[in-house]
Amino acid sequence: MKHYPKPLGKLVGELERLPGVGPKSAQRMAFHLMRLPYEEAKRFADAILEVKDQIKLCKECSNFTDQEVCEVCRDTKRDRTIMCIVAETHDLIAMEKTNEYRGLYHVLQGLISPMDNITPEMLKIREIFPRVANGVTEVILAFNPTTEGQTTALFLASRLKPLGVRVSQIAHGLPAGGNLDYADQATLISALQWRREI
Amino acid sequence: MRVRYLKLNQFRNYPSLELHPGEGVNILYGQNAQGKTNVLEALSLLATTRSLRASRESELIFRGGDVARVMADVVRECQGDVDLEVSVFQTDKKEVKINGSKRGRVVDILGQFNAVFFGSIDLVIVMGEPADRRHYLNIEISQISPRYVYDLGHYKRVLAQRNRLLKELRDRPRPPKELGLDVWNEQLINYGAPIIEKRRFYLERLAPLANQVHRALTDGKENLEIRYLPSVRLPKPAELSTLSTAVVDNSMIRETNRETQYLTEIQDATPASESAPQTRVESPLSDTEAIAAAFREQMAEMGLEEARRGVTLLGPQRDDIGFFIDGAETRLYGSQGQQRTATLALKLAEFQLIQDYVGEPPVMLLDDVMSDLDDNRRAHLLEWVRRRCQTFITCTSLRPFPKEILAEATTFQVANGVVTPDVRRKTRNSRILAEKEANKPETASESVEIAS
Ligand SMILES: [Zn+2]
Repeated sequence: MKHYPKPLGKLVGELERLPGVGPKSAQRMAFHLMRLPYEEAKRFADAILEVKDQIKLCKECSNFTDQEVCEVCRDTKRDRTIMCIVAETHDLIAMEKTNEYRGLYHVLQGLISPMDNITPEMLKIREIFPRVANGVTEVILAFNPTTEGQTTALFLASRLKPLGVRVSQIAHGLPAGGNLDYADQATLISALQWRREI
Repeated sequence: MRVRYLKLNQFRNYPSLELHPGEGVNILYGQNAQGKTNVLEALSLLATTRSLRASRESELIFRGGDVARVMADVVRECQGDVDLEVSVFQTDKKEVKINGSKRGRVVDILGQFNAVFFGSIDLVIVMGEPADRRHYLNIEISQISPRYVYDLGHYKRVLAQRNRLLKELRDRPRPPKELGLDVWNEQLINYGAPIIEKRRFYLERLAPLANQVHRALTDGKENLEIRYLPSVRLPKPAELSTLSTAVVDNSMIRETNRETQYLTEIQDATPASESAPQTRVESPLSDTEAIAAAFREQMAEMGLEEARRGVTLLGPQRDDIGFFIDGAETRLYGSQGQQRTATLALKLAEFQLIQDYVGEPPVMLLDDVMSDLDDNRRAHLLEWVRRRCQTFITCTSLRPFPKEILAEATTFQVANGVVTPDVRRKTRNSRILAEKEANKPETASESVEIAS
């Protein structure tokens, strides 16, 4: 037998297309799924479809939500003059876990990266401007310290500053509790770049 | 700086190797293709994180092995002794350890151990393509500036992204600003300007040293001029300081005697928006800022040409270095001897530069120079390294070495992946010396030339 039976081959093929999954692990996962009790397999398949059917982007902030407007945007206790812009929903969740930030969010759904065919118009950038016109006076940019993160930050700053909003960026550098001696050089360089007066 | 102990594991043709080198000249001798150069390559890997010859780093792994490992115990005067380890995996991935603790990034090992390699492959610096010369610059500057590595990494990424965007604009013309080209321009300048500045800084210091050495090697008959040929036309010399302080790295932060330099850099780096505009006008721009301004201006002059062609036309990726002997370009008009001499001069100058920078001499790695250089230059080189630094020399025979060198040197015989120290070295050396004495006709002419 040179090939898998057709349905199994199809599953392997679909799994292989997932990010970070090679042919070997796709095969392993497919066999695992195939051996699941019918109910469990159905639960898995339904979960995928439910996400597709029910999850959409929040009308205000482009965060993933199962409502028209997401939980954060509906929260009336939020400070509506300040907005934190992040690349992905998981960045928003990370920020929320700190319990430190009580303003609004905006999720770009990615970072500018021409190599991945992501130019500014592919991101949820257009949607920022009406929100800024609608009472937001301060914007915090919270992106990873990668080339793409930095470039996206520069892009937004150059487009937002002329509108008179305050634009700041989260600091990148030493981890809290980190030791200077053990920090890698890139971290130290970044910490130096983002130093501030005391 | 010297290596007290070197250990290789599954590295090239060595299943394992332990070496206790001497403090001065170490000679590895044996037939060709026995693994002499591999020892130098291991040391070079510790200094640069790069293989000397492999196109893929996994070629460094012993046939059938999983991981190639190089470990060294390095004695340092300025920063204290250190244990270094570099591992190379089948995936071409590398891992470094400093004093036994694993570091997140391979480049963190740069600056821990400094070595200067000289061998026939270095001829490409003078003879090869501009890309070979840029590669040389990148490796050498990385050894003394971690910041350079950081900027270079970002720059390459920005360049790739910008080129992709320019291609897009070429194929489907649109207002460039809509696609954010203005921001990629700024990023190219942000990361490119410090690279240009470091290259200028490095070559400006290297050039006079290299000329000094070249003159010494040619009995004052020839002058070597090394010129930085940047793609971005530099601002007029008057606008650039000649004693720039632009190189920042950890060793500067550590060393108090360089603290003032570091503080100057901090002030220079203050973005224009943070400082009062009046003082800004009066004080001269820092070098990197002046270069950034020139870069920005020349990029603007090009207008839409880059978008028309779909590629970045300006920046460090198009830099070159020119070598001129008495005004004539060495690559085109130099004799083979001149090209070798210029390369050697460059390497010895590099040695001095690193020594000035680090505060102690780096380790010298000389690959097969005994057969590549003429007697005169060979003698000069041996005299130069003698008592100056720890040196590793590979050669096929001990014969060409003068007595004084052999008397002091530590010698190792290399045969088929086995390195055997000449234990009773003195005896052995005296035997070789005796052999040389007996073999008058060949050695006589040599010793005359060495003496002259
Ligand atoms: Zn929302």
